[in-house]
Amino acid sequence: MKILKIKNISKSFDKLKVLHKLNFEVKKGEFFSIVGPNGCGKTTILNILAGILVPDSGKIILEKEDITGKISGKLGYMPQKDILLPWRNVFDNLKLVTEVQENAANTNSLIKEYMKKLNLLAFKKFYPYQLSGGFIKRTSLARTLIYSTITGANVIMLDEPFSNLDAMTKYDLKMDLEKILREEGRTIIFVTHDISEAISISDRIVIFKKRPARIKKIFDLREMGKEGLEEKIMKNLKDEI
Amino acid sequence: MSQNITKKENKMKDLSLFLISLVLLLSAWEWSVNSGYLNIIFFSKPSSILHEFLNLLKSGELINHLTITLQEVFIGFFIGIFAGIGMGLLFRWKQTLAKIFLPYIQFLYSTPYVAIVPLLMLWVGIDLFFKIASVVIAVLPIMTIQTYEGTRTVEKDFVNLLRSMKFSNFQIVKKVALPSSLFFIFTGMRLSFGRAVVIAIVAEFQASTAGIGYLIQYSAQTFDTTKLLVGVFIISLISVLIIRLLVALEKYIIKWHPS
Ligand SMILES: Nc1ncnc2c1ncn2[C@@H]1O[C@H](COP(=O)(O)OP(=O)(O)O)[C@@H](O)[C@H]1O
Ligand SMILES: [Mg+2]
Repeated sequence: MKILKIKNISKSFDKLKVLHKLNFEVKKGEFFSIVGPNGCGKTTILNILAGILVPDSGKIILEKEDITGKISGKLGYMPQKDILLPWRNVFDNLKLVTEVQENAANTNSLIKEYMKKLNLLAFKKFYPYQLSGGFIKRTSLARTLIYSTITGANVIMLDEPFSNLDAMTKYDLKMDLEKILREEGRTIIFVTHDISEAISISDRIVIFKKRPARIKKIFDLREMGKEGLEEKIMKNLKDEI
Repeated sequence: MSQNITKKENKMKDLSLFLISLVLLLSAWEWSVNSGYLNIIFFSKPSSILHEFLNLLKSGELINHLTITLQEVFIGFFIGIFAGIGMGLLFRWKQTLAKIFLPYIQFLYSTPYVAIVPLLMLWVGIDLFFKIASVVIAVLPIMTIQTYEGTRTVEKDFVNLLRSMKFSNFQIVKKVALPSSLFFIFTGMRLSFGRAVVIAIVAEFQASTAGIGYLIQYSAQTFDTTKLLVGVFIISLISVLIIRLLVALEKYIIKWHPS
């Protein structure tokens, strides 16, 4: 079942054409990856989905509702930049997303649950400047998951969640993330510039080509398997550059 | 650990250097007056100043002047701070308002603020209200500009993230913009406290029957240099102490800084 439809989305910044008539659909419960070189417009499409950016043309349909240019609040979003509030410790940073409604129900147990799942309990009282890169990503990820749980957001967007991490840290975080997502059966839109990273965790992969981003092909890993896929994708990418 | 100790040692060293220079300076002053190189009528001398200070303290006269001046300073300071922070946030929140009104605030900030005192006196009379208004004029523009600039440092991506989570503009200001501009706000408070004291004294020069500014002005007219200097020193000392207090408060509140 399709949960999210991206129809003919185009976007330019002044004269810079970034997205050109993008069309793709995301199925419920799948791990969907967007892969493309730096600067091809991956973050831009996520911002459009979140409603922060308005597309020049096209439509976004989420569960039959037209959310084009609207902030639906129904998509969890882990931004590419590591942004935590420097004056709040880990727990209070997570608490932030529960404060949209000032008199929200007690959410402390939910926050604890996700701190446990992401190995953050020992860092509860740490301020962002005291955290290593990996734990900043973990906090940022936990924030998105908690938000999505509270609001019942069915789609979670992760913008390069493993970037700027060393190999070991990346591996640990990836393991934990996969475990959580498999358990919870969420729909994921995962953005990365790393093809092999995408191949290792995705159900389907869409390739964006550099500006303006267009889609040539969507690779379904459940149909075609992972064998030799990286070369195929690389070739597909190079064809048009 | 050892770094902390050397830091402390350095501080002690700096302090003792300062104290030595102070004692030397005061002794030289005292000696020059006693031996007739400086005229006591124009320069007074440290021992007389201390003596006069104790006299004024005992009679309650000093406390009386000080209370009046500090009252003007503090009431004006707090009104200026809160109004300035409010305006700074409002301008950041509603950019159109900033475009219309900020230039006036900037103009007010760059005028030599004491020049406005006589005009203000014409407008609002010579009472307590006049002095408070003067202080507000000195404080408000700095606080508005500092808050407005401070909120510029807000991470745009963070604001976008919160918007995507349906936080209201007001919540974003309260939870992100205000806390991230605290550093600028404290700097503004330190800068404007000095201005607040200056303008209160100037306003008292203009028209008053009590206050440190009055004490200084009156003593000058009667050639009582000793009393005049008691006034100058006591208000300087208190300003320095309060600014120190503000710095300590800032360190206490902004404790998430790695430094
Ligand atoms: N707000 C903006 N204004 C102008 N140009 C932008 C803006 N956001 C992104 N861009 C440009 O659009 C292109 C795509 O950016 P982005 O979506 O961040 O790429 P990616 O996430 O794939 O690395 C880049 O060339 C970037 O410089
Ligand atoms: Mg990006």
